[in-house]
Amino acid sequence: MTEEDPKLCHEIYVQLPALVAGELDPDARAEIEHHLAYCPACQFEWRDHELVWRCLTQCEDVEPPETLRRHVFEAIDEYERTLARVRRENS
Amino acid sequence: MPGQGNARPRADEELMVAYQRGDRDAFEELYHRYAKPIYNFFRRAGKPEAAEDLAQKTFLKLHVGRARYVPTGSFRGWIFVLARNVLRDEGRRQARRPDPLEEFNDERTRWRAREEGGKEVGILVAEALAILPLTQREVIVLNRYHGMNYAEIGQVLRISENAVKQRAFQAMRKLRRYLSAAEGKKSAP
Repeated sequence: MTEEDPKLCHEIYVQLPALVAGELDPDARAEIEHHLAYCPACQFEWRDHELVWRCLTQCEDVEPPETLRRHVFEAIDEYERTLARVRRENS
Repeated sequence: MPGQGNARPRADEELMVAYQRGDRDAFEELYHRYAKPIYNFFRRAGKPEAAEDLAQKTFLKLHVGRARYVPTGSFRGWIFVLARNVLRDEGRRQARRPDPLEEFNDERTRWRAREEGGKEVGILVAEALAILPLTQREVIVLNRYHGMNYAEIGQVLRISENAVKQRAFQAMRKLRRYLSAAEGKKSAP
């Protein structure tokens, strides 16, 4: 097999996001890894995907504001009060 | 707190069924488990400034629609469907405003203005996510930050697994271009 096969490379390329996300079944993964082992162009693409995927972890979770809980429960209480009033008016 | 002292914490689905029966402590526990993921979903998939408001709307929707919950699927999938619907409603509401694009740009400007000195990767990533269309952004956010696989995401977004894969591909291509350009590297093909 030659090092670069544009058609095969394109097929590999479109699978890289799924590979980096761990979404490929073992057979598909093995096929791509086999190709990556000898194709420098796809290796370059793969490293780029890995880098972006790692970068995404830099956007870390933060704690919600402490006011959120109070606002949620107030909104629910307000909804229940409104519902009760409407039911009273309609009865 | 519910679940404490028991050998096994109650599953989300059990808590939701308990809440349907009026157990407010069950809702407290669900809030405790999901406030952070839902809030961060909106931070990344929606507008950071509106994340608290949108998270509040999601929990209110959960309360209002609690009778419709059927414990056949995962609770996590269900609450993210609610969150996603809130996000869609917000998008439609924004679209009715006179110049939503201008507001979006202002927001990005403010977002950028927070940084001092060199851009940190976290800020770049947040910017990169912000330029994605919502349909692509929510796939990346649910996959990368909420650990959902493509099948689960398909259920939440009500699209095929293949469509999820396609959106992830398009999103990754744009993220690579944005981050590569920002880093002054050669743009990806």
